[in-house]
Amino acid sequence: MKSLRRRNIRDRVMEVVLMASTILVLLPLLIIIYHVISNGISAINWEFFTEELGSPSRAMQGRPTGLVHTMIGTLVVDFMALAIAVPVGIGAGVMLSEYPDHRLNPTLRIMNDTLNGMPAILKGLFAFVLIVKPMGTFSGIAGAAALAFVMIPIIARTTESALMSIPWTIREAALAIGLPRWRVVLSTVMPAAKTGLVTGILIGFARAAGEAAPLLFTSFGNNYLPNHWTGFIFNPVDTLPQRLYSLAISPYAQWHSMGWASAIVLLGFVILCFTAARLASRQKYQL
Amino acid sequence: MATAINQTSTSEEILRRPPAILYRWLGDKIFSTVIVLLGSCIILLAVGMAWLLYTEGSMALEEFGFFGFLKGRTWDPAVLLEFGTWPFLFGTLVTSAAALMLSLFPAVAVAVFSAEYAPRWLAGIIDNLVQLIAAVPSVVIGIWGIFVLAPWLRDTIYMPVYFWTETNAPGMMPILGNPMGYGMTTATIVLALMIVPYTTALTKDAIKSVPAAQREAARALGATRWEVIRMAVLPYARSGIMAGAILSLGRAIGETMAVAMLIGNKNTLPFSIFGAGSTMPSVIVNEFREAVENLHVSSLLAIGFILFILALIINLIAAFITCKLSISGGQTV
Amino acid sequence: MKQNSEYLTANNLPRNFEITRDSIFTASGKNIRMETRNLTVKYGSKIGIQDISLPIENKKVTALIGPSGCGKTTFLRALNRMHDLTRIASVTGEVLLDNKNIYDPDVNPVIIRRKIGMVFQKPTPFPTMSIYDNVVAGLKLVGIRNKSLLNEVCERALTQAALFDEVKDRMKDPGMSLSGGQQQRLSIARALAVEPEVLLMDEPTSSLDPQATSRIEELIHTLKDQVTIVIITHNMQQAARVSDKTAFFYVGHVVEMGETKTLFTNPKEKRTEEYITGRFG
Repeated sequence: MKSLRRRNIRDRVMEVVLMASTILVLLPLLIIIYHVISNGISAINWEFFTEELGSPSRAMQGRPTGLVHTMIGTLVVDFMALAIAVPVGIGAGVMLSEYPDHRLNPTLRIMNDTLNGMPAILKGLFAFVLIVKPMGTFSGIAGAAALAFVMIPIIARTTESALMSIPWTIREAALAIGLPRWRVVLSTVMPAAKTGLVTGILIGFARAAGEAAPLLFTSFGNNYLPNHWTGFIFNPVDTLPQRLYSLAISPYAQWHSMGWASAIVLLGFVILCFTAARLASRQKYQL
Repeated sequence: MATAINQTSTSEEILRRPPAILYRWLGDKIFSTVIVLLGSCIILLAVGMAWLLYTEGSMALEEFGFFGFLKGRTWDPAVLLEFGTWPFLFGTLVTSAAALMLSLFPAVAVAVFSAEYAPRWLAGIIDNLVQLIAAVPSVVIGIWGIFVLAPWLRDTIYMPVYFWTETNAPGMMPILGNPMGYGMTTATIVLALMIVPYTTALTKDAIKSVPAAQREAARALGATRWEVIRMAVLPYARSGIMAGAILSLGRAIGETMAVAMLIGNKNTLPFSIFGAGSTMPSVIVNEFREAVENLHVSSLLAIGFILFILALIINLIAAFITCKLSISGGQTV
Repeated sequence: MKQNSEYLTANNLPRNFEITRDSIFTASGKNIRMETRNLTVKYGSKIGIQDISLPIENKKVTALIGPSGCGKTTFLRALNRMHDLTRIASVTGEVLLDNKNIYDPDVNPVIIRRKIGMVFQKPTPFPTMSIYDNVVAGLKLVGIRNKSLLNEVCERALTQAALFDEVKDRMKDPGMSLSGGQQQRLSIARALAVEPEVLLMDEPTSSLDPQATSRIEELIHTLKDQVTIVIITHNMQQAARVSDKTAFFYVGHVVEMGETKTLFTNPKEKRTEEYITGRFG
């Protein structure tokens, strides 16, 4: 038998190794946040939020340029996506949790997990084939659909687990006073699971809001504000993650710093959603 | 008037009256129909995705044959119009597997540290930060990689290694590749960081599900903290770690933006360690917007289809493991 | 024969225990409210209860006793079609309410459950609702909007459940804010609000302290003038205190059924005797 002293030393060594690994994993995150803020803050100014981007020459000649069309476009596309995803995601979650005996249920669970595991870029390709191709043009609505495909399986999963966490006896008690099933779900189970549902929606939203890959072939991007508000829906629309990508790989230094600035906005937005989701419920949901 | 009717009927009668049709059966019918329709949307989405990617990619798959397309080493959209996906499949598999190997130990270590060693408040912070890594948008990591990480890696690691190899082992040069900073290694490192949260989360869940009695039994034998982890916790959490690792692998093969921004985007084999490469998602991102030829577009969609199959296989394996893992976890009967 | 006083004998039965000569075995008798005929419930291939034919008398308390896992709860849940929820449970045989089989295809389970209420082992106030909303949930949520009627029903149900005085000043508080015993009485009030004709109680006092238990038992005594009650209990004194009829369940069958007093003092079956004298179970 090994001596107690050696075993205790081993214990200490492992503790240090594990701690070091933890720091190794978390350090890059802090470095990223630091660099994003320090590089981007100088490019954030009034024009950044009020002017449209225009052609590269605008930035190079020092004329005012910004990403107002991107901000509006992002909000429009993200919320359209949310409007599509919430009913479908919640509905599917309700089906998974409240109709466990339904014939389609096992299939639904497998398909939802499949969809959840699919790379976001494939959802972009899918939306391209499904919407952009028949419409003949890139559009905000196609981008919204692609993002909705990202959100739906996440919302469905979290909805299911939020509803499952409500004890089955609540449903039985509600049925026993003669409530029909739809009332049981809508008026007793879902209100009780409210925070879980909100958390799921926030997590799905945060995830989709950061995705660029599905938007590249759907909402495409646009350097200018549309002439009419419908342009945000039916024409190519600029969105923050996709614009960030374009700025970062562009050859212009001015655009690079605008890229950092949009990274601040994007990261801030996502962290905001993320924190809100955490605060909304103490329960742990996987991203 | 409705109130008049109410006044003539006693409360007794109102209570005795059977509920409105909506509350007898019609409501249930409508509700379950709507719910099932919404649920079916997801089934349709998943099936439709596979089907559309296949049909849209079928032009390329027919032109070169499924396996021919898979094994083809030439990707030439400009002159020959010949498309083979092997370079990208290779790039995806290599970067993902390497990233997984790189991230596995730290990811498990974070989970163990936060579950077993860290005080409660610190564990909470660690967990949230790790989950935050998963929440950071891929493009943000990409822009950081382009302007900070890649130059830094080039100057502090790639160049010294390159020069050392040049003088000491010149035969290794082709394998090492051009150390410009954007390439396979940089992409792998970033991928490793991005997939840590998935392994960590599942490992931590598994560790938490280890019964307290198991742990106490080991403690009672006089085991140190590490020995408890070795003897009682890790063996129990093994399938959780496995599932997490496979889930991470699934994320790695599908990770698009950061990789596309950092891998250097070279379409021809051979790839080298530091040199530029390509993955399936990165080639789609880079070329899809500019693709003009129908065959080119179809080939990119065919890559999407192959990516779909790859992701499907990995997810099914992960699902199989988690299913075995939580068979006693128990949902409602 | 001298018996330990812990066991029930004719001597320590309640004084006012009323003995009526069996009419219950004449199934056509007018005072039979519910009746099961060859009721069998299976979970997949596992048998929950088999071939149970049991009459339930109008405005009487029928107690179901027996060791754990003997099918009492399965039986009780079959009486208001609670098994509909899980497809793996299959019910065969008949459950007659006023001579109508509630499992007939033309019968709507929603209406059946309004006539046959149920109270569960653990109190189940609806988590997000106030006390008031909890009580009137069964009316409000099926479209009855008449305020004065709802108030009237709420007061009546809470009074019946002997809870009104305790909560009348805080109707808007969440139902979850009540104590365990109060929550259970709230559950009972909620079940009574829809004016059920039969009330099924599945060990309603098992999670309560003795004081709350005795309040519920008093409640059962007063309620039986208005509703027919079927109660599951593990506590044989309780069965003796509150019930008129008792059925003894054992591994999915009814071993014996009769007047509570007769069954406890002079059981016909050996197994019943062994159970009530505490030799097993």
